[in-house]
Amino acid sequence: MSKTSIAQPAKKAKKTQELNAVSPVANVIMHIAFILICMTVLVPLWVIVVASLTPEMELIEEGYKFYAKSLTPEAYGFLFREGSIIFTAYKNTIIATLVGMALSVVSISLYAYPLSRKEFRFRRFFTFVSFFTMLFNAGVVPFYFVSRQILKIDNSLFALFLPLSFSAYWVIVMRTFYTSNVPDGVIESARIDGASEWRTFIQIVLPLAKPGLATVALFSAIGIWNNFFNCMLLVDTAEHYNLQYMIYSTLSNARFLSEMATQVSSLGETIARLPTNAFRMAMAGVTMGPIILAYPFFQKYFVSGITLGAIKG
Amino acid sequence: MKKRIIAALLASALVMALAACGSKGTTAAPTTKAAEKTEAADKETDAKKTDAKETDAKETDAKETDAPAPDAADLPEYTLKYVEIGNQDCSRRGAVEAAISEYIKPLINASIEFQIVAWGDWSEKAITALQSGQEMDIVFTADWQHYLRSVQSGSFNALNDPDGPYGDLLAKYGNDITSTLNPAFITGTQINGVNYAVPTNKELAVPNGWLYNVDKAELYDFVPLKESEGLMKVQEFEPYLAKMKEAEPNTYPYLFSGGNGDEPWVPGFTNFGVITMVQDPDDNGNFDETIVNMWESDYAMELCKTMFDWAQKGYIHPDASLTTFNDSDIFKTGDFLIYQQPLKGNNIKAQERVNASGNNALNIDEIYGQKKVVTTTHTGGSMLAIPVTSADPERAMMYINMMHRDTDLLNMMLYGVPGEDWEIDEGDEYKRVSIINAEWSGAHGGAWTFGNTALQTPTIKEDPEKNRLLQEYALDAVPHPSLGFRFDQTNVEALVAALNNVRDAYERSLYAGAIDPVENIPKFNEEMKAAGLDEIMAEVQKQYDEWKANKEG
Repeated sequence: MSKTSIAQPAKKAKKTQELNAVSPVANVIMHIAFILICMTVLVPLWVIVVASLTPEMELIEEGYKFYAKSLTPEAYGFLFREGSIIFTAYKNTIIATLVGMALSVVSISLYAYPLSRKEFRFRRFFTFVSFFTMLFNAGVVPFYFVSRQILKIDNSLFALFLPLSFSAYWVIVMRTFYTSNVPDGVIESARIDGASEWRTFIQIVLPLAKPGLATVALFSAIGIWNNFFNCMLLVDTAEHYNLQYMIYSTLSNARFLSEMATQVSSLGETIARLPTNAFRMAMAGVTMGPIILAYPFFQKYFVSGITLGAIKG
Repeated sequence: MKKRIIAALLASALVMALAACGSKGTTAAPTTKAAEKTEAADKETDAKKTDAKETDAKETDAKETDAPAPDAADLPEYTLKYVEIGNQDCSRRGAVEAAISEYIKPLINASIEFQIVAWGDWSEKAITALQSGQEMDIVFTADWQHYLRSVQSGSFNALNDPDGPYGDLLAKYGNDITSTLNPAFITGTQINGVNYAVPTNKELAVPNGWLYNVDKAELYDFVPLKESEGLMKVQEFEPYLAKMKEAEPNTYPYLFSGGNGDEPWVPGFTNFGVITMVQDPDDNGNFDETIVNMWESDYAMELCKTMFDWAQKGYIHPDASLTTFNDSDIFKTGDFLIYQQPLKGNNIKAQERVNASGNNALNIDEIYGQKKVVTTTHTGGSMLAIPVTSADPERAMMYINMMHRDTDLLNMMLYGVPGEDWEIDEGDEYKRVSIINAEWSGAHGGAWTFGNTALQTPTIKEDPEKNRLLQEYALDAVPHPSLGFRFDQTNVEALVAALNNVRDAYERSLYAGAIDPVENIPKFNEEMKAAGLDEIMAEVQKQYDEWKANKEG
């Protein structure tokens, strides 16, 4: 649309280029470059979708292709068959993502705010406490022990989001965001007007920090959506599986079994029973689902978040 | 500074405590028990041979007579936690647990809870659970899933150590296990003369060999030897592969699966295939116990030359050297002549593979490349252990024992709730199982991961005699002198890791004929030597000598 309006005057005076516009040659090159970059993302997705719709025998005989001779929804039919745990897994993932995202925005914004205030006496100490966890962690066995036997979050939806609902990295990012985007003067004026600490935080600081909060929300949502490790370690019951674990375990079983098949005589039979390639691809396609929608939703905050941080930070 | 010192002290105290726990299990085991055990086992061999033929009749009798009769009511209520390997948990688990609990309640006053840990998660999840001291009563274990290491770290209870905290559990509650199991299973899974896990009663003799596509063989006049007629060598297939390649140029007639059917080595002698022994006895029945580097043998050179030649001629798939190469998929299509596989007699492997592939039109038979020899790796391929965190190891042993006696229990564990997940097909002359809902039977590890497989009722797709044949097949197998030896790589851990890196670079490519052996085998050997092969070999030799002296003394 805007192209035509620009093109009109350009026809009359060919040489005059619009201010700030890139040269046509650079424009073409940049377009091609970006199209190629986009292709590297889109092509694998396309292959996954096509493979998930190809009949199994054709996949075996001819491998993965960009188009299939015949299409069949068989893999999806099997995936969404009645009583399949994929429905439960979908529900679990969505609930965990939403709750976990809300929880992490609350906990991170609350933890980071005092650290950004210069008058807070213990800010160095508390910054160090959270920073320390970025460098050192106890390892898998203590994590397993604490989660299962002390917190008892195993075999529940808590296992899917609670361990991920706080992140030292985002605390530090948020702290920087507060210091650079919420001027001390604003907070001071709020106090002079009689606002309490909570009121200042909720009504003055949070609205100013919206881009930062959106960034935290987006990344924690993606983090929880994509996490299979906690589910693998802490969940034993099918009714609490999440989507990513289901796909991860299908693939890791296949890999493990094919590595072991030559050593363990009884495994040959088990390995031949593994889900088909088309089924695995259908599952990969399905797990992308709603999280793709999260990007455009957060994008407007996200972009302004980056630029704000970039100029002032 | 002070804090750091305290932290360091705490850490080292922890390490020492762990080390102490680890050594307890292994050193306490007296060595004389090994001898006792074999003696007892020998007595049973004869009895067993006659038993096997009439297992079914006998087992049902045994259920009534041998059951620990007065116990059930006296025992306190208990919930057994059973950690099984498999694909994934499934929504039928609750119903299956309820059915089994109801069934075992009057027998041992216990109920059961299953936890299925996925194949690929086992090292991370189940081993972490053991290390963190999670309460568990029965746990799957195997030589390929950290058996030795779990025993060394003291995670498992000794099962036949009279001086252990629970005494000789196998003797007290495991009569049906010891009376039905081939004695080689018991001796083959001992560590310093003590069993830390109950082996599953399944195939014991697993010679290497090949499956071949009968339809293609007829087409190209290929008449291989039957097992009773003798063993074959891989090179003998060449003319027929050539014929098939010529007639069907788009196929790859030699389907490569990662190993070789006429391999003369003891499988799994060490966890890395390089250092091994010759498996088959010579004509006088004597075994050669020299520890060798198989890549310095003429056999390896000849084999890889053949494979290289075949790959050049297009008999082997060009992707075969990649670990992602999916041979089961090609098997399914039937576009092959020869396919290397470990076998278990009576054409059972061929049947299983055809059933599992879902392509029932395949017509597959077997060719044998090795004699029947019992080795460690096949005795310890599937076992059940009782972790030290179990609050009632005796009850756990009673349950494991039931799995070696009770067909009804095994069928429920295998197929799920009778009437809902499966039923006996009354129209079938062998009264085999017809599956209604495969969810549970597809979730756990399968028939070979627990109990006595001969007591399980086969499905209508399987040979009705399958499970009995599997166990009988091993009766005339010869035990290899190394049976029971397990290499402990703790002392040379870093060297083994380095060695495995070198192996990853060469081994599969050489086997699949992707690289020239004349040039690459010497290079491979050189790099392995640089990675510390000689030291590892010395360690293997040392441990083997110690183990042997221990066994004989």
